[in-house]
Amino acid sequence: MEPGPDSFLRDFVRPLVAGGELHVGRPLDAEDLSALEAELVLTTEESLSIELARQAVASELWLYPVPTTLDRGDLALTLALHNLLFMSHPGGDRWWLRSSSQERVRAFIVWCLERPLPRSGEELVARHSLLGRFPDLTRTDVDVRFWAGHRTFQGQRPPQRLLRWRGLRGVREQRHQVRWLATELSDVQRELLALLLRQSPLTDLLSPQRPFPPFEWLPVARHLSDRHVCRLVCHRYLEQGLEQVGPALAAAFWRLVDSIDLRIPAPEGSRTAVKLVAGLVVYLYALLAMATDKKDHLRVDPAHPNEALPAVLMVAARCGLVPGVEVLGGGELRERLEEWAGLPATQLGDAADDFTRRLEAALAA
Amino acid sequence: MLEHVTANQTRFVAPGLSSDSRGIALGRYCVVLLPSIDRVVGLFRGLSERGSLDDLLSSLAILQVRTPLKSREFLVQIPVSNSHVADGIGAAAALMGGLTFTGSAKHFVKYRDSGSPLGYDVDNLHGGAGDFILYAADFVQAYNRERDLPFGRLVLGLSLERDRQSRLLPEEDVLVRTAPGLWRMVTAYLHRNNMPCEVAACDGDEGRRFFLLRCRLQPRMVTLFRTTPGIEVYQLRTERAAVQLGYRHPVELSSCGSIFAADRFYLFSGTRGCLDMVVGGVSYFSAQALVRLGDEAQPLTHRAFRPGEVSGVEVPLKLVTSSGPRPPVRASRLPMQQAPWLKKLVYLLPPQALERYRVCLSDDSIYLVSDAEVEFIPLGTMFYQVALGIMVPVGYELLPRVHPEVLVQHLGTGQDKLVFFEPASPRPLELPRDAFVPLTRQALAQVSVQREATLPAPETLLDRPASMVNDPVGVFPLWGFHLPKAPQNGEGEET
Repeated sequence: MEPGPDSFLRDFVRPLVAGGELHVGRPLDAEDLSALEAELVLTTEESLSIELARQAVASELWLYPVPTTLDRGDLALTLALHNLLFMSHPGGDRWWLRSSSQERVRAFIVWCLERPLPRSGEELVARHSLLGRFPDLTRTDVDVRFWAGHRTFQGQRPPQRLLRWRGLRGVREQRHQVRWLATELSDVQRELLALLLRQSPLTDLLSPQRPFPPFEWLPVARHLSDRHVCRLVCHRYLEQGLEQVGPALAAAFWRLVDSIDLRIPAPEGSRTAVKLVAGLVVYLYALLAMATDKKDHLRVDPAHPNEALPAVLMVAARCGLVPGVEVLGGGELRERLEEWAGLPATQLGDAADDFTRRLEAALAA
Repeated sequence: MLEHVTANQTRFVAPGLSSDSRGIALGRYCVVLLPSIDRVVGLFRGLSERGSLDDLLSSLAILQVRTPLKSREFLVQIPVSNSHVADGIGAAAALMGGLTFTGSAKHFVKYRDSGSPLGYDVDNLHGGAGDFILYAADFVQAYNRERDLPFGRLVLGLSLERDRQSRLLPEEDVLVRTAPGLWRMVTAYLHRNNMPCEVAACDGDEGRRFFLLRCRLQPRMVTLFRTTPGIEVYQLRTERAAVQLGYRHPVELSSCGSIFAADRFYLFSGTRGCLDMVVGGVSYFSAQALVRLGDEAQPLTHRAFRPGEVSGVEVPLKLVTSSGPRPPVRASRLPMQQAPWLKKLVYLLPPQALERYRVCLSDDSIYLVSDAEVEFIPLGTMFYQVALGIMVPVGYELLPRVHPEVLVQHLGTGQDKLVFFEPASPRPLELPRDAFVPLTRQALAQVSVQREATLPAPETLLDRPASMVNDPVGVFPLWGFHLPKAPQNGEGEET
């Protein structure tokens, strides 16, 4: 990536929003941020294309107008992500790079991530339209083997000199695509990654099956009180398939339940989060019940009961968190939902009662 | 002699007496003894002002009676249902100097007074001959019936009294009685003053014809008519009786409407001192059809008009400049050269305002029409609507100032046409409403203006993956890395 505001917008921000190749170069600092901000005073073609791409992303998720104009906060977040990706850059791991310099990079990322958290649904979608792709970022690693050894290139193109005389030197090139979050990340990166996810709660909500950091309900559950956001999340989960996202959602739910210390009164936010998540699970299955009468998705693996989303439906029904006919709209739907809620109990055995006790205790704490 | 009735007394010597709910001795009738007929009239005047007499008229009797000594007096026999009614009769009779008795058939004892609140009874009955035996405190007198005076005849025979306090209510209908030679002039006068009226020809008892006009009058007209010989103004008292304005009947006629026959109309005239009875009722006709204004009407000339040809209308309408308040603009005509300006404005207008406009294109102009009275697009010649579908430039008006409905009728506008008057054009221009289309739907496509280039829509983004590529960063990628100058107290606060 050539240095300069235009190149950063073209080669990093736009692919981050619209897809394509994100070019990660040297880390960008405060002066670069100021230069980018000065660039935004004039509406350039790059910034306009980014805004249109963000609008396109937002229009797939949200019915209402979303503010997608790039501002200083958005630029700071993209710079933070860029520098975070640089930490995985092979060129950033030289022995002669001083730790104090790396600490300055980390401090700058932390400063960039100290932005106000989005509150409304529009702000959530706007932030997600900018950062929504980074949990799925991939990198193409290339292994080049030749007669004298082998070289690995992480996200880099191997130099042509290594690929010459393929037959004579026995050059074999092997490419494999890896998910960036699944690669080996340093502790600093993990810490910063959690901070970055906090800046985009919708991205956090829509990527529960990511490798790292593990999905947690507590930081994002309050956004489910917005019914539009809750519907958006549910529909995305159904698109991804409950078999895919269900284990992560269920495991996060039981972590949320168990995080409530029964010895001290639970804060109202925790109990509300439990109810909101249980309501989301009930809504998910209510949508399924309206669409199908098949029961394949209700199978529970007894070896991993904590990852069974039907178990959450079961305990929600036992604890009275399933709404009545006046909300569900029809007796048949409620009957089907009650039937579904009763099925996991036979597969879980004693674990079903244990789940019920845990949830009841959390709600009563 | 009389005896005081005591409380809870149930047996009475006088026949027909009984105690009512208050314990007062009361018969079926109250009889009022009055010395003269004018006292009788006074009694009914008092009674009619307190309530309706219609309920009493069926059993009411006015009798002229005579004593054994041949003196004449009047007895008014009124049916009573309770002592409250009898109290009212007694109060009115006391004012007229009469005595009130109660009983049922022949023997009538004195009605109660302050000396005996529960009434009176007699110790023994008088055995003398007579049609009525009246028992008073100081006399017992027998009376013989000499003749009956019907109440209706009594009322109809009374003379009116002057009443200087009588006034017409603002919206009150009156009757104007005119002599046969005056009714046309009076009707024409009312018609010219835009006072609708109805006329009826009436034949009185003696066959003399007069005319009745039912209308509303302004105060100046009342004064005029009251001072014009041959014209009398009457106030309606009941549906079938009217009293001349400035006079009043001794009895309140509205309380005894049943005495008037259904097939007659009664006019009480104070000026002439007589009662006009119209036999067979009064049939009114609208005076509008009877009035003839101006000279002899010319025969109508028939002209064939082709629908839609505005120039065929021969009303000499003139477009002249006017001053005064600026009416709301409803239409505008733009030269075709101003089409790019219109386009720029259309881009700026909010959708709610844009939906109100309809547009029609001619060879050289663009006509804009708004459905609502809102601030108009400030381009071209602006028009306001003087009548349905008739547009006149702002600052001008049409002469003569005829009623808008007349304009619509003559120009044939309405729901399907629009007519535009312009000072530069001798003939107005007619456009069918169908030619106007919503500005938001078709107008921009028809206006030949230069289109601006738009950015191509981005391709579908959600399915396109993002991958990272590590570019070369050099040997010292962290060289010269700058932190924010004062993130803790400067820019940091932005967060």
